[in-house]
Formats: sequence, structure tokens, C-alpha cells
Amino acid sequence: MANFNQRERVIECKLVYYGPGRGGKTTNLQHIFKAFKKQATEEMVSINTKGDRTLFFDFLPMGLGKIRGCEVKVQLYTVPGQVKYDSTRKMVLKNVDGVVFVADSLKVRRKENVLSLVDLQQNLAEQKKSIFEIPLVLQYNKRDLAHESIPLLPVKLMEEDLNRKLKVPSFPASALKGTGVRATLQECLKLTLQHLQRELKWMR
Amino acid sequence: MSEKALLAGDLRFVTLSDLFQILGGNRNTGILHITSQYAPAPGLIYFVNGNPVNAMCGPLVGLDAIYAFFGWTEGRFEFHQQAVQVEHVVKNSRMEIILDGLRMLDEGIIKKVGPPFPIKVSAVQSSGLKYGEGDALPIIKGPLVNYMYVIDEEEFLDGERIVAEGAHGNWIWVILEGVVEITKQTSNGPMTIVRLGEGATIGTITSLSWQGHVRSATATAVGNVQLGVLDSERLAEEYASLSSEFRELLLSLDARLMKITDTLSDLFMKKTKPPDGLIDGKEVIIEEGCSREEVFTITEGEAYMIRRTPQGCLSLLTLQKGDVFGYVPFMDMGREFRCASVVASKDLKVNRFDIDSLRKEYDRLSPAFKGIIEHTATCVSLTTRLAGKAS
Repeated sequence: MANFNQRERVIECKLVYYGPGRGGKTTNLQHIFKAFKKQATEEMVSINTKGDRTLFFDFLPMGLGKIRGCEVKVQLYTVPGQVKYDSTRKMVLKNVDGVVFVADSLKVRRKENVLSLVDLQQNLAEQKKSIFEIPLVLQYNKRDLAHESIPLLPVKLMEEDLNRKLKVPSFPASALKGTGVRATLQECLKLTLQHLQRELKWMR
Repeated sequence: MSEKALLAGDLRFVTLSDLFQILGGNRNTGILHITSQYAPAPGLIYFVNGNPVNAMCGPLVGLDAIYAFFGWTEGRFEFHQQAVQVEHVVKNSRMEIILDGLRMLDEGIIKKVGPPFPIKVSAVQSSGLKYGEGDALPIIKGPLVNYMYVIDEEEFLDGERIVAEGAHGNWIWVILEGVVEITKQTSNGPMTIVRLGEGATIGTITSLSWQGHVRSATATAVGNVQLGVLDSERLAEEYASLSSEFRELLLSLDARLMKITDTLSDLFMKKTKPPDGLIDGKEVIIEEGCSREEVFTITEGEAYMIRRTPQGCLSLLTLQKGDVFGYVPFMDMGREFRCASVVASKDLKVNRFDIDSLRKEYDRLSPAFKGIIEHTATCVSLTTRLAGKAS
């Protein structure tokens, strides 16, 4: 559930980028931060957690409009994949409103993708949330590497592996080049706000 | 709590990171007092417009003091709104402090302040149930550590959690030094199943295969503990190279440990009642104390592992399709039948394993892998004995 800041008349919703280590979560966020720098309210926080950096920043996306007179502020997080970062993961996933799952298209990372998705399901369950209900978008990252003849998983296979049961929107992307990053975020934001409005019974 | 406090509560319910976000979101100015029965003196964090600007925690001040508070997972807090006249030494953003604090807590850089034994077995004592010798649990030690497979060493401080029940992970550790307590959550509170010593492994064979990634119990350091991280990739490769029969046997051994542990925790909660007439119309296929070298896997029907007590037969667990039972001396498996029997339903159908080929495969295994199997088998037999005693 999003945080409603009564004093500032702001609804803060929390989006979390989840996925296997070194799959491109950080790169996604860095790209977004650069693109939305003017709308970011504070500097990006970057923590060196082993395996993957943990990032955080919040921003007021333009063009989302107001919900019941409140502006919508979006907090973006990445979450460290390693098992030992239990407290960090709990804090980040607490009251999460939407999730972007960044899957790694590298052929050798097929198993890691599945494991990480199962892990997400479990971690959400700990927060009493279902992976089938939470606003979720999949991103198949590193598609650009196909040009460098690095073996990639076909999108169809990744859909089969990860999205067969979920049936959520998915986007091929290259976070490094910046393609697909915005589309992923926008879709996740859209789903999150729709979900929020339904949850708060603001939409009939 | 004093009357002046505008916000007060328990850190177990509202964590420090929650507090930072509440006070931050409201841009509050004032002093947060934190007390813990495990800390000699209370601590203070000063907030100006929702941002922490300074803090005091014993001899520590500023950012170091704030970070130290992340280790205070138990305690009380109260916030007093008032003008703050201290030096603004902390310049970092709220979120940076939260994320960095939690990272250091997870990495063990920040010391957790709490009772020396966070998980108590008080529930066991209060229920009057005794197992093991007296109240002190026996410590299971493992075979000599094979350093060839240790790829990293980790140290855990007294009371630190190594793995959490229900969490994920497929790391396997071997205890190099110290004692680790294994506990399981029951509705009566945490129950200590076993204490492990040098050479014992934390993590199961199942975790080497695909489906195994959820931890079935919590492991906590008792005193300072030195652990060796085993090369799970190498072990997984070794596991993958085994015949399907052998893998079935290993998974079944793990499954048995889970089942018998569940039985023990049911007994702990006094849920299980000895069913009457369990033996009626059933055939005893392994008699207590039997040590015939035979292993079977169930293809149809059910079998029951039972223990005869003066009050009647107690069912320890139900064996179903795919479960393996029998006595494999070279794997140390099946020792539990020294104190239990197996009875079968009429429709039971089994397949017999080829003991010789199993033995050959076992002999080819690396010492580290053998160590894990041996350790699991020891745990099965000990837990069965405890369950037998607890009844």
C-alpha cells in the first residue's frame, strides 16, 4: 500500500526492481535517473552491496496527473539479490506497490532468472502479497548483446520460462543502451496506479 | 514512557527504518530516545526537519552512532518534539542512512544488540517435555573437515542467525569451529531440534538439486562460530552425475529428516495421539533392531514407521510412494530402525535397490559429499530417537 503523506499531499508509491544479480537492475535505474533528473527530488542513493549495488531515488513523474488532489511521487528501489541481505530486502519490499522483474537474456543465466522469480514470489509472500496480484512487469534485458553474437535466450523461451503462468506485460530491453527502459517503467507505473485506485476504491 | 512523547513504541514492531521514514515524511524536529535492556545507556538521535543531524550511542556520536542503532532490533523508543541545538554533523540523506545501515547489519559489520541466546527453548521446558540427555541437547559433530571443498570462510558472532527458516539459499556450510543451534518454528514458539558441532553441515543435499532452495529450519550461532562455505557448484555437479536411484535415495533421506522433524515438533506440541489399531491387518516388514542390508522404494501403497511403547504403537511417520526405507550400512542410513519398525498396508508394492551398485557409487563420492550424507543420516537417526523418547 502506498504511503499517503497527508502533510505534503503526496501519495508515495514504491516500485522495486527485482531480478538476478548483474541482470541490469542497477543500469535500469541509472538510466531512469539520468532521464528524469530534473524531476528527481533528491540525489540518487547508491549502496555497495555485494554482487549488485542497491539504489534508491524518488521522483515526481510528469504527466501522471493528480489523484484526488494529491501528487504522485514514485520511489524506485533495487534490491540486493544475495541471501544475506535479509534486512535490506525486507525493508525494500515492505509496502511495495509494483515490481519490475529484470530478467537476464544471457543463455547461461536461464536458471538464475527462474530462481530469482521464485525467490520474489517467496519474498512477497512473506509480506503477505501474491505475485499473481501485485502489479508486475517483466523485462528481458541485454537484448543488444545479440549483435555481439553472444548466445541469448529467445524471447519466446523466456516467456515460456517466466511468464507462462503470470501472463503480465513483458518488454525486451537494453538497459545499457536505454531501449525499453522507459516503456517498462511506464507500464509498471500504469498498472500500479490502476491497482492503487482499485484498492482505495477510487475507481468504480 | 514519559507524557511528553508524541510517538512511542517497541522497536520490534516499528523498526528504526520505519521510524526514519515516518519522522522524515513528516519533517519532524526533535529527539528520538532509544532504550534497550541490552545496552548500558539509552541512545539519542536528533532530527531537524525530518533529517537526522546527530546522534549519541554510548561512546559513539554522529553517523557511527546512528548506524549502531540498526543493531538494536529490540527496545523501546520515544520521540519528543523540541528545538534541537546540536551540531549538524550528519549530512547523509535519510534513505542512504537506512539502506547503508541495513546493509552493514546484514553484512555483520553492525553488531546486533540482543540477548546472548535470542532463541530460547523455554517452550520445551514449560511443556514438561524432555528430550536428549536431561535438558541439554546433544551436540552432533560431523566427520573431519575436508578443506578441499571449502571455498570461503565466514565468521558468525554469538546469537547471529546463519540461515532463517523459510528463507532461500542453496549454500552449504561446514562448521569449522563452534556450535550452531538448529531451530524450527512451531505454534508453541521456536523449538530447538539439534545442536551441531565441528564437521557438521548446514544445508541439505536437496538444496543441490533444482527444487531445493527453501530453508527448512533456522540456524543460529551459539558462541562465536567459524564456518566454511562448501563449493556447492562442485557438489551440485557431483550430485548431477549420480544415477537416478542414488539421487532418489539421497532426496528420500532428506525428506525423511524433514518428516521425522515434523513428527518431533508435533509431539512437542502434543498434537499426535497414538492411533489405535494401527498394526491390525498390517504386516511387519522391518522389525525393530533389524540390520538386514536391504533398501526399498515404495511404488504403491503406504508403510508406517512405528515405535512400540507400553501404551501401544506410536506412528512416527508415514512412508508413501517414492519414499525409500531400509538399512544401508555404508551410508550410515537406516540406523533409526534400531529403535523403530516398519509396518505395511496390504497394497504395498516396493522396488528393491541394488545394494552393490549403490555401494560402488558411494565409494566414488568425494569425502565432502560423503560427509554431508553421513551427517544427514546421523541427524535422521538422532531425531527418530528423540521422537521415540518424546512419545
